[in-house]
Amino acid sequence: MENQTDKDIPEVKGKHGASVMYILMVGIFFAILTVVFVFFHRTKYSELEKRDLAELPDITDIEKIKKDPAKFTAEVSSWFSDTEPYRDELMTMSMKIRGAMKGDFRDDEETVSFRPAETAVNTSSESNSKSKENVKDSENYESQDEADASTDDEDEDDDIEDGKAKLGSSGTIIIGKGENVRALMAFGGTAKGGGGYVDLLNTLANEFPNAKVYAMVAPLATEYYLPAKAAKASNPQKPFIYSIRDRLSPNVKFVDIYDELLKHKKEDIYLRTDHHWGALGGYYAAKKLAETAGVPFKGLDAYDKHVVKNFVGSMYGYSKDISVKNAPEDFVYYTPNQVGYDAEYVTYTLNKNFKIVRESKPFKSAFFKKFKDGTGNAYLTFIGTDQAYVKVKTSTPGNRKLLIIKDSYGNAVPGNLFYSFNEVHVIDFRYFTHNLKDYVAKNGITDIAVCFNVFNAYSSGSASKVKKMLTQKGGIPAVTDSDTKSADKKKDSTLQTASKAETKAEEMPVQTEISTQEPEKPVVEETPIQPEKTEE
Amino acid sequence: MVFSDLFFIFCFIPLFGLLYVITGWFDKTRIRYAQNREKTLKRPMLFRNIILTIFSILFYAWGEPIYVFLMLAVVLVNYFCGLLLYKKHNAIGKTWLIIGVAADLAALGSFKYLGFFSGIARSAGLDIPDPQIALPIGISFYIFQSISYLVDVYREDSKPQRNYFDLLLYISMFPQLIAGPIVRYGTVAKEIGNRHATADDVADGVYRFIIGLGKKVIIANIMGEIATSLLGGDLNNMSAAAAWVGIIAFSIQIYFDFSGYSDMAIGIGRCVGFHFPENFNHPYTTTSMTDFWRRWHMSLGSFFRDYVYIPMGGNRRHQALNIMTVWFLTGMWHGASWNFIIWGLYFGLIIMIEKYTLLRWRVPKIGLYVYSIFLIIIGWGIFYFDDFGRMSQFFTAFFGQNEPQGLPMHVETILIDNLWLWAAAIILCLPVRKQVEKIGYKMAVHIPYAGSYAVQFCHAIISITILICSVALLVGATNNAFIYTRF
Repeated sequence: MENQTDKDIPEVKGKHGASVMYILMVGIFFAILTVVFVFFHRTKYSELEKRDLAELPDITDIEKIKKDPAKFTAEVSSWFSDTEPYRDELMTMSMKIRGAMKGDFRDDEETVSFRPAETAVNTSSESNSKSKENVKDSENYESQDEADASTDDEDEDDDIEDGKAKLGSSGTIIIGKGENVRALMAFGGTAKGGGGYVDLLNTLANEFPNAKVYAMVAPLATEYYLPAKAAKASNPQKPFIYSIRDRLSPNVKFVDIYDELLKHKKEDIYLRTDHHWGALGGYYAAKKLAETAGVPFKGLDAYDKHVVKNFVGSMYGYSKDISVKNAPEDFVYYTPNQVGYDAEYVTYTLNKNFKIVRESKPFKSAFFKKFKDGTGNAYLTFIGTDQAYVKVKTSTPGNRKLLIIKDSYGNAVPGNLFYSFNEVHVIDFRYFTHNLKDYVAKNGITDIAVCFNVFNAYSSGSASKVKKMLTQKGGIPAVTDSDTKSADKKKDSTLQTASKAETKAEEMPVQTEISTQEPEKPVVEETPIQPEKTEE
Repeated sequence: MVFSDLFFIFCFIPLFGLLYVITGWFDKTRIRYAQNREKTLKRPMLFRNIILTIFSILFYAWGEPIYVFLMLAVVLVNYFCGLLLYKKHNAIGKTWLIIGVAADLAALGSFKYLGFFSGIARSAGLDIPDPQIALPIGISFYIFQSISYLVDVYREDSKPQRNYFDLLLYISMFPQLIAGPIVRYGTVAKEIGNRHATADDVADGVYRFIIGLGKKVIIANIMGEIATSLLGGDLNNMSAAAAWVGIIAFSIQIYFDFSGYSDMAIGIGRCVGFHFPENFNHPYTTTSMTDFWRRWHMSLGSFFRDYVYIPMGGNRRHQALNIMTVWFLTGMWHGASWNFIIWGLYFGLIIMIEKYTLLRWRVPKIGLYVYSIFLIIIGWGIFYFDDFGRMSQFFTAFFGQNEPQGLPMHVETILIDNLWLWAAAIILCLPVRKQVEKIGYKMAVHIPYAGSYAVQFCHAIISITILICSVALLVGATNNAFIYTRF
């Protein structure tokens, strides 16, 4: 079309009619699209992106519009393009289009072994101009853990699915192919981070001299499944996790989840399509906690196994990669069958800005929620929400009462501890309005565990939220009786809305861009994650 | 507002189209009525022009609710100057021309370059505050159109516009308002007063618009993402592969972005009966830098040729000075930043050198081609980085001065994940589509009726496919602005 020269045009017969046909074809199609986009029901919440979509700015607020008209028009535009009908379907289609652009002829080319977690530290530190201190750090941890780790790891090289690895959006890494695709999150931290977490645990140990305090740091799946060729895409987590261990005061017990999971990495300890670990990962973490705490723990034969089929978790939305959607997995979870337990919830209602506006009265509800096949939020099986604290009374005799302060990784842990403790209390680090000291005293807590994934363990913001609980007085207006009724009535819907809000409030999987140019650059503390940002 | 915004496509366009058709009926009724009384209408396009002007103002005000008044004022000044200088071959005419052009340049200077110059003054030690003026969208384009109007009227290439609103329509016409092509007044003067869009025009216009949309959304946006991911982060010790792939992605992005915009502008223009000039002619098939600028942003090149280079003496007097002036201005036009000035002078220098060397020697075409593309890509490197520290980090990597790192995984991912897009983009830089259209045209000529229908049927299928893909890709698109709207 460019530079078309139309001189001496011979007559083209039928041109007019053909043009009319073209206009009709495209025009009708365009008219249909217009009707859909303008008049159909607008999407308000994106299941795929797990977020509420933009809202139409207030058109009646003339003052505000006058003040900054450009902002207003921009908001209208972005509202229109954010809330289009069938948004998720269109986005899925867009991912399919992007997927079709892929040149997929590498399939049989090479098989790259997944790097064993231990060598991870070496590979990355050798291959890069990592700062000297970091190299020193990692070597330290390397040697310290050599003894216990090497034994598990010699035969690990053969658990190869496929050597493919590529970077997805928002700092994700996609590995494997076909139904074995696994989406991983990149970790940007170094051994130096996590000062806030260490400080929190040490403080808790001081504040509660009569209770046992446990540090539980959950690694990301990346640590176990990242192929060697993609090693640069994420920093090793082991130096970080063990540097936390080494900085804890002797009064804090370190629960070595890292090592426990390593032993079981051939099992489905992590979900392939979700940013969380699976029920089994939580189970092994709980096992290690029980061991460390010296309480009984039952094998999986004391549990019923349940499956939510066709589960595609959050990593689909984060990675925006269609191959994740095409690789649904079974979401498996286990419920104890030889112990009685009774869960009592207090839930929080949040406003749009993720501020707590109301606390419900305690109500009884199932600890494990049953989700239908194909539910993308199936990880909420455990507890059902983060915006709550739960007290579970078990039929296990004894006097041990556990309090778990956790992020969403921690949700998968307590359900495995009903054989071990007489009471299990679960508090989310973001949503708890009472004074922690009062709570511990009132409930006679004997064991306190802080279970964070590496992102939250890295961020001093997350730790300081918990620290605040030691001094806060609690500022939520108590609910009236009439509220209680409606709250009870709504409790299912609360859980539902809570479930919707879940991921967005917390872990966007990666808060740092994968540092593509210089993966081993020492990262300043705080950079790997700022999960609070979205809340504040 | 942006052409590739869903709001524009599904709210603005349908509403505008509907009202334009309705007012078209009014106009036609008026014309028939006048014909019955054996009169000719002075303003046969009246209602359609009103709608077009209103929507143009709305279009601009949507993005620049304040600066729309600046545009209205600029048009007013040019309106009066144009009337006052016409057919005055004396000092008075010249004075009005100078006043008008000076006013245009003053508007451009104060809104686009004041911050830049005050920054220079500050670095020279003067205590001048930063004026903090945001750049009004499209000001570079409409100021240049205003200047062309005054000069053309002064040279009597065109008559002055006696109706303020018609001049306003010329300057503000939304298809070409914010990113060109720079339409000369003479090109559209007649069409403002009276124009006709046949079914062929509309079909071609719609097709052209959709092609442009596809260029922008399917190719430019994704290439832009790639360029940003490789060039937007930390450049320290980046790999040569990342530098090359990144800047090639940007080269592809800027071509498809800008030529896509031009296609959309020309397409909308065609639908309402205007014939805007072409702005691109496959610039990446060039065999010299001189030739590149006859193919890239042609309306800007010809503007500088006709209003600066030739009046300064062209190739008859101090050609070197003329060339460097034009290229200094070309660089400067792109933005108030040193890297654009350097970029312009870089082209000026190469064009001057090649005039006396390569273009006089017998160099095989392929050699010329490689030479041109290589230098153009380096040019985009200068163009991309307005921070000299980053620019030098980039070129260090580009010329392989960093430790060799082979093909890092993120670069490999980018290449393989978008393999077909890379292939399509590179092929579409060549005149493939032109050839295909030629075949279609021949077919339509030789096979009466069926040929035309087959061609238009293919066009319709292509259009609908592009529309579907573009709309899907626009959902969730975050960074969608056209590069050239910021110049």
